[in-house]
Order: sequence, then C-alpha cells, then structure tokens
Amino acid sequence: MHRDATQLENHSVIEGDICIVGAGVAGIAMALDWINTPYKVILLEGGGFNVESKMQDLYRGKSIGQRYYPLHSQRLHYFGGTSGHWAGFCSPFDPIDFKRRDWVEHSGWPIQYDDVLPHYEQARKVVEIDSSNFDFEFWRKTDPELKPLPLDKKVLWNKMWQFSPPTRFGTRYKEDILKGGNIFLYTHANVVNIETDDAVSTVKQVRIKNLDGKEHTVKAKCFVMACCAIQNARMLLASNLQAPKGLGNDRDLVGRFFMDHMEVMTSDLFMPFERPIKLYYPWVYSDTKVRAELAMTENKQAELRVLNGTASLMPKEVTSNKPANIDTFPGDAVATVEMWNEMNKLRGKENFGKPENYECKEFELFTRMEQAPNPNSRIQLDRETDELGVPRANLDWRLSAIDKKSIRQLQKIIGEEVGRSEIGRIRMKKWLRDEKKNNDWPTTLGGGWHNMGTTRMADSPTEGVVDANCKVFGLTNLYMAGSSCFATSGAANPTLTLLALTFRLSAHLKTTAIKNLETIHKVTV
Amino acid sequence: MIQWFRNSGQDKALAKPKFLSLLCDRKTIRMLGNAYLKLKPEETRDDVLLNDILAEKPNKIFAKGQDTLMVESQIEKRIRQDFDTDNIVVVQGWVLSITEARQCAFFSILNS
Repeated sequence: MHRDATQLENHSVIEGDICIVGAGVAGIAMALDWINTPYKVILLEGGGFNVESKMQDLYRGKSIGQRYYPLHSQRLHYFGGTSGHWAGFCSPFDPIDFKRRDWVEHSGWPIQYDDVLPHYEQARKVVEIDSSNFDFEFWRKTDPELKPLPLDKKVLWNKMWQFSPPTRFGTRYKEDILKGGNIFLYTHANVVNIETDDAVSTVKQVRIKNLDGKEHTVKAKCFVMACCAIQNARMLLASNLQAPKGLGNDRDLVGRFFMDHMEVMTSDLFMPFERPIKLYYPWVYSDTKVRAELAMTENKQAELRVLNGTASLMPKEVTSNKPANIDTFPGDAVATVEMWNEMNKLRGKENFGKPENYECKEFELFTRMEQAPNPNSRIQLDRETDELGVPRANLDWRLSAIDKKSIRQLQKIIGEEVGRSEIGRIRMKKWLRDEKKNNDWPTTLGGGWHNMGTTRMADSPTEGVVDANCKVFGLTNLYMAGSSCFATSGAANPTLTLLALTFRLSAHLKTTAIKNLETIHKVTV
Repeated sequence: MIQWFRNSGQDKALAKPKFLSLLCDRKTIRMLGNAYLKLKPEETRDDVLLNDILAEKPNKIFAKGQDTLMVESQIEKRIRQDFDTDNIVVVQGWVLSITEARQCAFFSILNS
C-alpha cells in the first residue's frame, strides 16, 4: 500500500510494528524481506517516486575538509535512493576488512567475514548479478579470454567485480513494495525528529514533515534508520530534545569516522608489447559482466602494514583527456538521473565503449584505496536548517598519512611484480613520489561517493554507536541499516556489503527482536 | 674485469638497460640516470658504477673473459632478482631495479 504523506490529514498518527526510515537500497531491501510476514511494516520515504530538486535541497550541506562531491547531489532523496544513479559495481569485502589490524588504528569489527558471508547471496539476488562466487578461477572457466597477468599470487591477486544492470531499486521493486500487503509505504514523509521515552532508552515515535507543511507521527515498536551514512548521523544528532548531544551520542561518536574510498589516478604502466587484458578492461556500461582489479594479498598488507586497496588498468586511449571524476560530478541530481535513464533506453543499441579488441600496452593505474578510520573525519550539524527545520549536515572529510602511504606502497608492489615478471614498468604520478609528504593530496582525488562509518559498529559504546546487530547502544529498539554501520571501509564499493549487512539485521530482527514485536500490530495478510 | 670491458670497448653495451630501452628513449634514460646519481651521489664515478653493475656483492656472478652477451644475460637475471628481493629504487616515480637504475646512471655519465 502507498500513501503520499502530503495527502494525509494533518497530524495523522501512523502505527506499525517496524518502521523503516528511508526507501533507498537498504530500506527497500529490508522491506522486501518482510513481505508476507505477519507484521505491519511502515516504510517512510522523504521524497516521491521521481527525483526532485526541492527534495535534493534537503541534503544540501557544507563540505569543509578534503574536497568532496556536492552533498545535495551525491545521494538521491527519492524512492529507490541513490540506486537511481548507481553504476552497478559489486564486489564483496575481504576477510581482512573485518579483522583487527594492529597497524590500522580503530580497525576491527565485532563481527567477521563469515558472519556476513551467508547474506551475500541474498544481496546478490536483489542487485541482479549472476553469482555470489567472486573467485577468479570460477570466472575464468566461463570465459577463456579472461587471462590473468603472470603475477605472484602471494603478492597480488585478481579481485573480481560483477556489474548489476544496474538495478534501479525505485523502478525494479516499486510494484513488489506496493503490492506487499503488509508493507505500508509513505512518500514525502521526512523524519525530522526521533522521540524517545523520558529515560532515553526506547524510541516511541518519529515525527515526519513534508514541504506542504504537514506533520505526522509514526509509532512503532522498532525503528530502522536506512537513510544513508550522512543522514543517519544527521538524524541522530538532530534528535536532541531528550538527549542534548543527540541520540546514541553520549560519547560524541555519532557522525565521526566518516569514510570514503580514495579514488585517483596513481601511476602509469608501460608495457613494451600489447597484451590481451580483457580480464582487467574498464567497465563498459551494458556490456561488462565481470572484470578484475589488482589487489594486494592479506599477508602482503600485514607485512607492509598498509591498508587494503586495488588498482584498475585503464588503457591510455580510455583515460586520455578524461577529467577526474571529482571535476565533473554534477550538482544537478535531476539531470544525472535523466542522463542514466537516457542511457538505459540505448542499452543493446549503442556501443558505450566496448573496444574492438582488448590488446593494450599503455595504461594509467586507477587506485581505489581503503580509508583508515579517522575520528576527525566527521559529520556535524550546521546552524543553518533546511526547509523542514532540521539542521543541515556538514562534512569534514579528513584523510591520514597511512592512506597515502598505502596508495604509494600499492604502486611499488605492482611495480615490483610487473618488473619481476617482465611485463613492464610503473611510473608513479608526481603527487605520490615524495615519501616525506603524506598529508597533501592532489585536487584530482575524489571519493567513490561511498559514504560510510558515521554510526560505526563496535563491541562497546566507548568505541562505536551500534552493536554487532546494528542496534544503537543504549536504546532498546533503534537500529541503523546500511554503510553508516561500517567500522572500516574495505577496498570494495559498499553496496553489496551494506545489503548483506542489512539482510543480516533483518534476520536478527525476525529471529530475536521479533519476540518483542509479537504483542503489537499483527496484520492479516 | 672492469679494465677488460673498458679496453674491449664493450662498456657501452652495459650502459643500456635492455628492457627499459623498449619503453624509454635515450633522453629519458639519461634523465633517469642523472636523477639516480642525485639520489646516490657516492656512485657518481663510472668505475664505481661499472663495478656495481658487473660485480656487486654478494652476487659475484661474473668472471673475467665472459662475452658481452652472456654478461647482458646475467644482468637481466639480476634485474629480475632485484625485483624479486625488493632491491628497487624509485627514480622520478619509476619503480626500477637497482641494477637497471645503475645502467641508466652509467649511460648518463657516458653520454654527458
């Protein structure tokens, strides 16, 4: 069922068992998982079914640290969320990403890779990729042209990626959500405050508003925030009526540890002779099903005490005269979504860059590096409020010396390997060469618009905001879904892992927290 | 040994990093050689460089009288060993084996 909150009588009260705040990738995935359960699920979306500039403006905020993308256009505020301009890159986190590493401060999750692994299969299905097997040898059997470079497997490995169509959650799953008898979707329902009992131990309700001036209340036994890393932190911080520092923020951790991947051109790779590099060829829209990036092995990372990261081989003919992503990322989210829609219409008719052959000999290396958790990299509230009266979120993205050292070390390792195997030679970009300069960054460096870590998962409230089940410490019924829970950022794009984590949370709520739900709004489906 | 190479006029052959020459022109190799010598000024004398290229400890792999082709082959092998044993140097961003960086340096001295 769907209701537009602008059409409800003012000051309506909506009641359900579970309230999911945000109908983006995580929120929709969780709602899908609750269809045909005997529970009434309230799914709140701030925007409508189409991306609108006035809704995007609610995400506007200042970026006061390392250069970043416009906050009002990098995430999409409508049904389907940021999947509306997602490119579809999918790869799981690696086991090392969850481990405590003594050379990476604040590393280590309270759960490990094996805890998340069973949920990747469910994640795979919703993003419509072929397999949850990301092993290179598996894919080589499907296509003999996927030939690896002869590099030492103890040093570098082929980290595989698959590509979602990409699945636009807003269109792909709209009918499923609307027909889900126990799913009650409310659009134009922006949460502006999360309200607890007097003891600040249980969330009683959330207050929602829309730009038409209407205000409603949503009551539920359990609340799941799935608004993206910046907005999740923003809502906790802004909900300060009963908790002056914001909910879950007794230890000033909400909003801290904001992370993204550093994405930047780092080296040139010169080979004397052309080689078939289909395995590594850059993603081509509507064509590439699978490809690999060069990644440092876990043992090598430990030996060199560096972060996880990968490098893509970008043929010079592809990168030539191509500006950096951060120089071209548009501030107009509506136009971006329209561009993707136009591309979608041309699928199967247009060549979006598939080469005649995959023989290349000169490349730039495009590195995607994990960012070390940094408490000073953070989201904070601004004094300025948005049109609904909620303080805007400002971003202070900060990088650390280990981030740059790790990027440099990855280039050296690739340089050693291509040298040893007589494939070619690496030349690092100028900004990486001086080993004494580890805190300055080129203007071409951007993130992957992968917002992570602002309500990080930890063993205890002294180290993080949510526990191993994504429940906010100190609150009995408030959960965070999505990449805001990530304790570290890994090397891979977050979508697949945030979905796996969301399905893990969903399973937890069904099997454990459900005991607390059984006394309330059971619906007849 | 070094004198033998000098006298035979084949020292120039050793000043040519074979693999790198497939990727770089003479100007770049000279530039790399000069940059390496700035990093390692103690190696600026050509006899020191030639000695390092031909008979660097602990791999005294060359014997007097070996022909140039064999020596070149041994140098290529050593370059691979350099990469294998992290015996590398970053010169102007290039990740090079120490041996081939010295060859560049020798080239820059011979062509200065």
